[in-house]
Amino acid sequence: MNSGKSDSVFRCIVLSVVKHAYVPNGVANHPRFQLVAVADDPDQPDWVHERNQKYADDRGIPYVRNVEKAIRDFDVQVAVVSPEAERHANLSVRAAQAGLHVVQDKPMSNRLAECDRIVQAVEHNRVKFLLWNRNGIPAIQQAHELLQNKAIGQPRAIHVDFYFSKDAGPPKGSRQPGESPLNWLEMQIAAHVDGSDGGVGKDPMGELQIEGIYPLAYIHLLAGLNVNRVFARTTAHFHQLYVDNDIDDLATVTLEMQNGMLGTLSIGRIGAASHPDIGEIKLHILGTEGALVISEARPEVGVHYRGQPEKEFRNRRLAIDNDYFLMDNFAQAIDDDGETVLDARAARNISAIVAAALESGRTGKPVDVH
Amino acid sequence: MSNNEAPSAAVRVAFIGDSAVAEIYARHLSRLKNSIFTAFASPDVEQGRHAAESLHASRFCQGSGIDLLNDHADEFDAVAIHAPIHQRKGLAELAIRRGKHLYISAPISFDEHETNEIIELAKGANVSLTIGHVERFLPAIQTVKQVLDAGKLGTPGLLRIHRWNTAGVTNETTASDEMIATETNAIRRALPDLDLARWFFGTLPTEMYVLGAATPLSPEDSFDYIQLHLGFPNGGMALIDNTRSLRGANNYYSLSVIGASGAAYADDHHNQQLLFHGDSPPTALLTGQGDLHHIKAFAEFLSRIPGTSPKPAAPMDEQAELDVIKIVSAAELSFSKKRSVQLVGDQYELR
Repeated sequence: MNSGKSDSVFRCIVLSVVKHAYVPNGVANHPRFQLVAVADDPDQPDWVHERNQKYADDRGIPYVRNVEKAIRDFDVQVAVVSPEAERHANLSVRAAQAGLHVVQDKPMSNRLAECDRIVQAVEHNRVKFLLWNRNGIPAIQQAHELLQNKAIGQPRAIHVDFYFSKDAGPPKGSRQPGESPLNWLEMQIAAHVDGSDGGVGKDPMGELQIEGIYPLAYIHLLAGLNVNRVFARTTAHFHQLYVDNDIDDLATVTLEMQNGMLGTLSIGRIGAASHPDIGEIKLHILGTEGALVISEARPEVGVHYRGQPEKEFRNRRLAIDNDYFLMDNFAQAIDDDGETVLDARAARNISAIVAAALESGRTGKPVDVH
Repeated sequence: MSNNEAPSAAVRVAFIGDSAVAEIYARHLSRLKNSIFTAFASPDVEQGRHAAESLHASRFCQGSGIDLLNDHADEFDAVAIHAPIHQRKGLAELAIRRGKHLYISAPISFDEHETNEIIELAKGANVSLTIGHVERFLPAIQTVKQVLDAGKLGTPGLLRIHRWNTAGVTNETTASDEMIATETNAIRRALPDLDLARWFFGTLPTEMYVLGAATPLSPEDSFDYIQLHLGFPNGGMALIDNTRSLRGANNYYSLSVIGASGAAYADDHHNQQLLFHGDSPPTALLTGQGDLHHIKAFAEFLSRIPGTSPKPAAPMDEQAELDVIKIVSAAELSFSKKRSVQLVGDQYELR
């Protein structure tokens, strides 16, 4: 296990970076983390190698087509894992088995059994694990502080709206007779140009799987309770791509938590026309002594000008220091042998909630979370 | 004048019930040109007489309205009932049997059969019946419904409502506030929002799952809360949560509709102003939507009375009125059994 001193710099290997590179970029933003190489398995398709190579070139670091060799050669302490979701577990487990601390992109995996493998590898090898999340956003931190200070007494119900107002290809109902269904991987590869490729991979994933971790991580932070049972509705409402691949771009989940706490989540990729900015992201929290209504986007500044591109957000978020917050926490966890803000077990529990919600959406019945 | 003939003058209206609502009508009499209030009945003498005076009603009867309907029916052609829920069915029946056109706050009853009885009675008596869903006429709700009906949002996919009320103080006198003040059953208090869900989606939900602490405020635990999760055909869904345990002086309401090609967000959060004073953090003050929604709901009823309007509103959707009562009953079933319910045929069954 690699432990750190408070001023030491952790050498990081990027194990695949096929999506938009917010995770390795976020890691690199902290002065205690240094990206030293990109690595991946040699049998990956060309498009994977091309993206890995490009990122390595942009960063001025080598790209090695051999994960274990790169780990050995570059004397690294941290792995930054950002491949397709179906390969998250494989690379994270191997990194943990090599004694590396792991920062991994979301979702933890698209299979619960794989999440369990990560938990086992992380705990057996006593390394730190951080699943990338947004809990460091100012409004979320403010909500957390208010709850910690009992501003609303004991929270009893928490609701999160988490909509991304982005398109994902042509609208639902646009496929003409005789046309082939839209291919998930091809569409995700094409979406790389605008960063909307969070679900890239062979296995299609709906919004609950791709993005559900973010609002569920908010609930994990703010409620601090396990979710015992869920009831969900899932559908493909907006995009032909999601219809063709039988996955959800809109979902609602009722959450039954410990101690009688209740909650709901509504999540969707609702289309670019449905919000002037990235999307409506709000929290509503009821407590015994008060309540909170939190707009996750704030603080923000409005910017409007003649000729403004239609897709440019009219409101720009400010003071976003989430990357630094997460990596500072990660560094401290390594230094002090402490917990990360979203460790392997918590991340696994979130994946279990998602899995149960998907099952509930299929069956129409409440489902226990395992 | 027989009530089966089209009135050539303004409709004479008797108002029965809530003096506070009557005062709202009184403030906007100039907008109700095709009606005059001739009678008012209320159990409270002082407030009732004041309201009658405000309405320029020549007749005031203290009481539930039964005496007014029995003894002075020749003084009015139509009745507006804003009485407590447990009185409504009886008053409605009496008014209809007296041949009066009827406007009555929703619901007439939480029993589907009783509601249907009144609907059928009105049809048989050839009088115009409107069950008033005042919420629908709030400016924000009207705006959302208009853009939805115009197709601008596409097929509705998700409706999300938060209704947080304090135990007693209200910002705007709406039907839901009245219900919150008088109805101890949290699920029944959600009727206005369940009606909106049915109205927006245009059909019954196909499944429901309801959870909460639907008990009245108690010394041991003052948290009184319900959350309803509805599924509609073609993947539609709604989440509604309702409480009257909100601490503070102001209520909070938020409604959003996400459609296939657009979305609408009506949120009190967005409509708050800031008041800076003293040494405390600023106070958030809601800029309200006024009270014309009561008048618009009533005006819709008036336009349905033959001869009163060159452009009468479409007839009341009788099936929708029965549906919303069915939805409330199904929600109660789901809550009591802690199981989801699904629509099988025209009835809800436990899943």
